[in-house]
Amino acid sequence: MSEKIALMIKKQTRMLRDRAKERINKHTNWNLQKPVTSWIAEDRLHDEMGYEFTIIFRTCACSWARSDDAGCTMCGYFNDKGPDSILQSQILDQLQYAISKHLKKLDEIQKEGKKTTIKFFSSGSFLDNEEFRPETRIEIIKQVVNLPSIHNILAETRPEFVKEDSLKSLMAVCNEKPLELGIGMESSNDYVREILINKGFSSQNLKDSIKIAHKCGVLVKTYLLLKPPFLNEKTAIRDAVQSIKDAVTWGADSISLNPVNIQAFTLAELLFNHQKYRSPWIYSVISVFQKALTQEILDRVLILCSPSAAGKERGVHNCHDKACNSTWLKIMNEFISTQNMDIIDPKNLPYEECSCWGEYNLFLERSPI
Amino acid sequence: MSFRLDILAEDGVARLCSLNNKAMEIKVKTPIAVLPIIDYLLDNDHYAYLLKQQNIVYMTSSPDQTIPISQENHLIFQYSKTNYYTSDLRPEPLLPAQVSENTTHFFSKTCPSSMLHDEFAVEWYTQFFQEIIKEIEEEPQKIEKMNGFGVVMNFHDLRNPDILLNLIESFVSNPLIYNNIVALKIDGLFDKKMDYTSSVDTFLRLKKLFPADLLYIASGLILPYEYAFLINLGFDAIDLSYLLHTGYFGLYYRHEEGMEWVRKLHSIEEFACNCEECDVVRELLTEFSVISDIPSFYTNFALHNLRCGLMEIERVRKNIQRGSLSTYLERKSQLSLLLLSALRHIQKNYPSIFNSTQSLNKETSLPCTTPLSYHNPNVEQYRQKLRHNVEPRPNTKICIFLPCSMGKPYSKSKSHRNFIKIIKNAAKKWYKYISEVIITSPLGIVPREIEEVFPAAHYDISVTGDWDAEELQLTSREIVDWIKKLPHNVKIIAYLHGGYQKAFELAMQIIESEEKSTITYSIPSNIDEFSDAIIHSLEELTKQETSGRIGDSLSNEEQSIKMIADFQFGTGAGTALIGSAARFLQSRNDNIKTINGFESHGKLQLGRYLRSSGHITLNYQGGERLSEQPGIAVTLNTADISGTTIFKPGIEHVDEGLCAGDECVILGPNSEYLGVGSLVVRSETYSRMRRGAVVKIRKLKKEGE
Repeated sequence: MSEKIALMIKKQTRMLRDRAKERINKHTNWNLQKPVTSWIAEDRLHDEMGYEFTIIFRTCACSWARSDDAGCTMCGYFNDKGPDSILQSQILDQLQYAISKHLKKLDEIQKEGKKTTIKFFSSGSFLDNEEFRPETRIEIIKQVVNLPSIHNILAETRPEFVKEDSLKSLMAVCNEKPLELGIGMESSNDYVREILINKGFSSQNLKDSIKIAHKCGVLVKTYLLLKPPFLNEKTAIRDAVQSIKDAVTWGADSISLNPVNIQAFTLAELLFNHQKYRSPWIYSVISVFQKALTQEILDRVLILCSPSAAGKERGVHNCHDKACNSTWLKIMNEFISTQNMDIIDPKNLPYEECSCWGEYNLFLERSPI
Repeated sequence: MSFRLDILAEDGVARLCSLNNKAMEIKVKTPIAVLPIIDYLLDNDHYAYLLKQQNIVYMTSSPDQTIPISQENHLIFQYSKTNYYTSDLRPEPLLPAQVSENTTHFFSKTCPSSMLHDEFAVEWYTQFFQEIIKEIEEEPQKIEKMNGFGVVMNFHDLRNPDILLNLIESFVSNPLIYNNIVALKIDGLFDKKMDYTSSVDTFLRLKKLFPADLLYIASGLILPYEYAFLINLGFDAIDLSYLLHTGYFGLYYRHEEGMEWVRKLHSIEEFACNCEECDVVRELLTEFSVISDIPSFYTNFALHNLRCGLMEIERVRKNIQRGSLSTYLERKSQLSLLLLSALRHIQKNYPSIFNSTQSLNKETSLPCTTPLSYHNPNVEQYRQKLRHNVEPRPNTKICIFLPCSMGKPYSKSKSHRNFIKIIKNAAKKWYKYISEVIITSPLGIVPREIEEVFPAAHYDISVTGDWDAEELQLTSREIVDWIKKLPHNVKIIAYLHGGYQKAFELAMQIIESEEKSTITYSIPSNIDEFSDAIIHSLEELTKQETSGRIGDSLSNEEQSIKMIADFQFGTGAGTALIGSAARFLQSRNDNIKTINGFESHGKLQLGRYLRSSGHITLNYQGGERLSEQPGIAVTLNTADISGTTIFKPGIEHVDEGLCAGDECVILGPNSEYLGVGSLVVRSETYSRMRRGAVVKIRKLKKEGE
């Protein structure tokens, strides 16, 4: 029975993906020497506060989104893809561009005595040989590993690319610096992940790849999705809480909770435009942390949450009041940076400050979406 | 343990039911408000106070939600838990582990939470229905213990809800569902105000699929001014959640005027309401100048809105009790174009559902305030009955058309007392050959004999003397039909003026064009001419008839009884009832006249005539005389009855067209006469209900009779 639902979701996603492709194909003046974007910002590291140096490469896109299965229902990173004919040398150029742009800042950080995580995002998989050839990967790591203040390296990948040999070859050039793999687990529930998100891998695949990574001495960061399309707020909280607990038992070293933000040419956007979907509330994020986390978990696992478009209509937000959104985002960020449960203790939170707390409670109980 | 729904009375399609829960001894009456239990609000005193009200039902969003102990003496509607699918793609159970004594469980599915498109929705509902049936099949004892369940259907993001009807039909036809379903919550069907009329169509079609004794709950984006309309469609309960939501959005319900943004209400004076919440707001506003500084400010608006909703439901219930829902609805529709068009839509497209189900056994006043009233169901039903059931007196020689009067019944008004005096003086012994017919809008015509029946003595209309085209057309149609029924050679005198005259002349034109023959009539312009016209007509008459005694021998009083009985029970009923002779006897109560036959020295009671409603209630003998009358019988499947009520299982057949409150004759399995009673539900409801009372017995054949 669920297959028909899954097929409809897949079909709709594919249609949207084709529309996105049409638009991307109109682009002619790519600047393939530059990455999509790169930045340095404050971030919580495993033991302390530090910085993140993020580079988003423009590649030939995620293998799952390229395929006939059309990708995930909430992911619009496909829109940042480059031409299929992109060269590996151009990817290295992108890296050089980002490094030269931020080298000064990295030096300053080193002088401060802080540490930096370097993050390679490609809106796809770092370990996918189509996107990054093995020699490109090694070259990239070689170039960044000795940059000032760099403490560890994070790359994102789908679990099917986590192979022992490729990981070992990377570890060899990491120069003893920890390597972390970010894997989009989204939910521990297979129905939610495979049918509602159309993610295309099972829990077993994920557990296996975590095992392989750990065997090679690579850390694993799992991304969990808060409120995927087709879950209402209450179910979404329940799902996220369960997923955090499961991710901990499956051996994740850090967990990043990602509230859905609405990206172009996705199913989430389609539902959003028809008022059939509302991006999650910040209250829900806090609520998930309150319900799922214990001190014991926090001691073992790093909990992260850095939502995109936070406070905006299309991202995680409460009401239209800017003050309310910024108050609650501040609380959330404070919790992430200190990893201290006291901060999200209901007794310490200013629930009654904004009228939307009442609205949220009603929404939670009564709204079908 | 769920509730049992008993239909107590019906007003058209709307109805008054009671929800009984024997285990907890809870009894409430519909239309009823369904109030969501919001944990967040439970600390609020005002909310707690509202929850203590008698005529409400609680709704909880999951079985886990705790209900404060003080509120255990209310019915509770409870949703399934938030549910999705396990990792092996199996649905999570919808049924809770345990259901408390006063709780009705509602099957609800929360995942996937929104419909991608209509095809998706079909698939979604197919799964949902299969899951319900599977769970019921697996746990029959649990269902039996629950004593019925509800189902939540969500229409809010469907483009065309009609595509689900086939699916729903096959779902309901499953005996497990049909026998056990007690409530249906319809979410979001009336959300799209642009497609309001098609939503109405969908609902009426949906209703046909379900048994009649089902509790319909309306939910979604509906505001209090719509309640009367929805209840008129057949909803029994309204979910007030949306009113709470609106309060938190910053919307303030301004009673009849709809919603207004709070931020646009600047000063204290603008809260034109005296409820406790508004008092709180007024006090707060004197302390704080900026609205957003006030803590839990919006809660007050939410509760104010809630109060408005509760009040409106009370009002609608009162109106159903009185039988005046249709006029209340007309008044409401003046405040909203949405309702106006919806009401016109149902008047135009569903006369068989809304008009022919109206009982005329009422005493309420019927103010006709708008053009909508021309097609008020009571009015339409009156016209229908007049057209089909009532014949003019067979001995009519002169037919006088008179204008209506302000005072009702007409004969009590000053002008009509005068008319009657003139006619009597002019006619003398020929008076019984004169029939008087009163022309009026919107009823059309009212023969003098039935001037006391509802709504002839109960309607009122603002008279300016100007008649609009629709009034003229409707009224002239009635006049035409009446004149066609009159015997040949009847003299017609129309003492009319203004609009009445116009309508009459229009009728004459219609007859001329239809019958291809002219009718002679006179329109006297003043009282003297009127009197002369009667005398003149009589002279002609006496010339023709030399014997002096013509045809029928019934007296005026007998004619009146006969015509009232005809109107109420159908053509021929009057003759059957009074036989060769009968008379009215004024009872000690001013409101009641008894109808006595001439047998047993004039003391054989046939029935009682209630002057306040113009309605005859039959006696045992009266019923016996009408036992052959078609269309008023309830046939039982057993002759052995006791008690005062007959329930669905004892009944074989209820004649079509009978409405709730109508008199009926009770027949045994071999069509033998058993007694008389009045109907609790209309015949159409009877045919679709599963259990419950159908007839209230008044008189039954005694042992040995």
